[in-house]
Amino acid sequence: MTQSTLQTPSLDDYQSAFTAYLRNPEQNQPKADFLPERVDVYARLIINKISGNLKRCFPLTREFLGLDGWRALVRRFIDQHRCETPLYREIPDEFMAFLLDGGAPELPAFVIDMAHYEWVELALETASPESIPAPDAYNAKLIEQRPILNPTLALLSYRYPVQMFSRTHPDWPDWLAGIREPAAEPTLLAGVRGHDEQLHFVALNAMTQRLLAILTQSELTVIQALTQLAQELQYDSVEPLRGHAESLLENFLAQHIILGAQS
Amino acid sequence: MVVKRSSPSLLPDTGLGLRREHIAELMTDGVPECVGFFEVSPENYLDLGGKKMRDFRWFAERYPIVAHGLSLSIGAIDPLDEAFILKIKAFLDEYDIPLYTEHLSYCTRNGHLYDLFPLPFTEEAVRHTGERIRRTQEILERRIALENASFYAAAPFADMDEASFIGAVLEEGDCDLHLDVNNIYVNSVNHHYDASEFLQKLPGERIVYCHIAGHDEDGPDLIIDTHGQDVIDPVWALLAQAYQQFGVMPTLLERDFNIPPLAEVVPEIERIATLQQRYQSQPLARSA
Repeated sequence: MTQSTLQTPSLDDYQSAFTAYLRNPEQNQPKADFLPERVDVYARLIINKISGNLKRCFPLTREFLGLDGWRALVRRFIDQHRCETPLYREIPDEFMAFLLDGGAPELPAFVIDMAHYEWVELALETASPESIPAPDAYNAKLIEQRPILNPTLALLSYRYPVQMFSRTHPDWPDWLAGIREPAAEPTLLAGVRGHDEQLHFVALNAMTQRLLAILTQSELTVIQALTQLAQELQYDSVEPLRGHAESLLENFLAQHIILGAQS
Repeated sequence: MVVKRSSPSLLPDTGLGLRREHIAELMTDGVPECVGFFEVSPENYLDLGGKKMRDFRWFAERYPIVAHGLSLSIGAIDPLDEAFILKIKAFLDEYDIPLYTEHLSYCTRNGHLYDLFPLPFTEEAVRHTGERIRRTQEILERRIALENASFYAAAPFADMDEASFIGAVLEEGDCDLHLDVNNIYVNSVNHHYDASEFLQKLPGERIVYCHIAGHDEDGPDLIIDTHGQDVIDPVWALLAQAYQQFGVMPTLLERDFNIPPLAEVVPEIERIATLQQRYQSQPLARSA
């Protein structure tokens, strides 16, 4: 125990200086004279801990950035972002928010899409509830009923074809090599955790995604939602859409996007 | 003379930290007899869905659970996160958890930093932390226990020594002590003091729970409290001293990194149980 004649700082000043140093060990040098020599041990522990946590969620983003680029980004996240969640599991949520808030403006736009696509996997895996019920078999009455949507359903829109972000995809080396232009059409997906515990990402067209959005945001039956969609599309009647309804609903059930009808 | 435990504890004597690496084995091959309870961080299960939550429920339905938190930040200047404390309370209630412990440290300043930082041993920190402990216990409607923390960087100023600080904070907040004998050992090396003397100075009447763990050596006089290695002999000696001095308390083997197969962890838990049997049958050396 070191006892000294040093002026005792307030608890507030001490914690402020200590954590300011941890958030940015380089910029805040020299340390305040009331900071202990070994505060740098904590700076090292924090970057390693947070980097390790994030790397598990964002392996492709980490690979794209390389070790130095990755650590520089994690350092900036620690320095500039104020994490509100007390849950370590949600540190990737905070990192994603930091990226979406423009925390790394120098990154190519596709990297933000890639990071988000990686993050969605974690979000779906850990989303409530504990179990997803098995989907019912298709029933012709479903179109007149309010569907039960998979509670983990996430409707996603990306500027880049995110399914190509995979180490096994033939285009992966091209992505790693540099900047790519957005695709002409956005990539629209529905992501769910299925009854089988697996994550399903289903490519959608704009109309199908809009239909799911209407169902998510309302208490409408399938036919009511189709009618609203027909109006939005300025169709004269719902009939052209009704013709597709059966195959659409069968697919949604097979993909665990819809689980059945509300009683 | 019996040491009165201030927290109602229905816990068996020995437990194991519930780790992802062991879950499948425990669920299929069964839980070793020496494991009487499991410990989890409530932060890992709050707001969680999916298979991991179902697995947790499997254990919670069969074994007592101890909650050992990470993010309460009891000594921080940042305001207490009362919404978070209410979530902890709901979790403790739902799974009938008899004990919630936290660290005598802080982990926030304008946001979470996800590590545990040492408090300076000052009168101001005693008053400030004590007040927050009382508020936390009021919200939780139960007592909490705080763990003597390991630390690597002592403030170069102090109003008292570490053992006095711990005693004063627990007194001020009127809460229990979660004794961590590995942390005492780690600190005694990192900060050059006598571990056994330190242990004797702690308020034994407040101890409700104990941790024992291994650690990593980072340099000749820097030990990092990783819970990543087997328990070493000087730490076993401290556990024996704690039992002799304060009586036997529920004790958990902590293992957070380099997690070995269950078969290698079980002998350490059995060793805890053997020590407990030895000291259960002996009268206490003295009351604290």
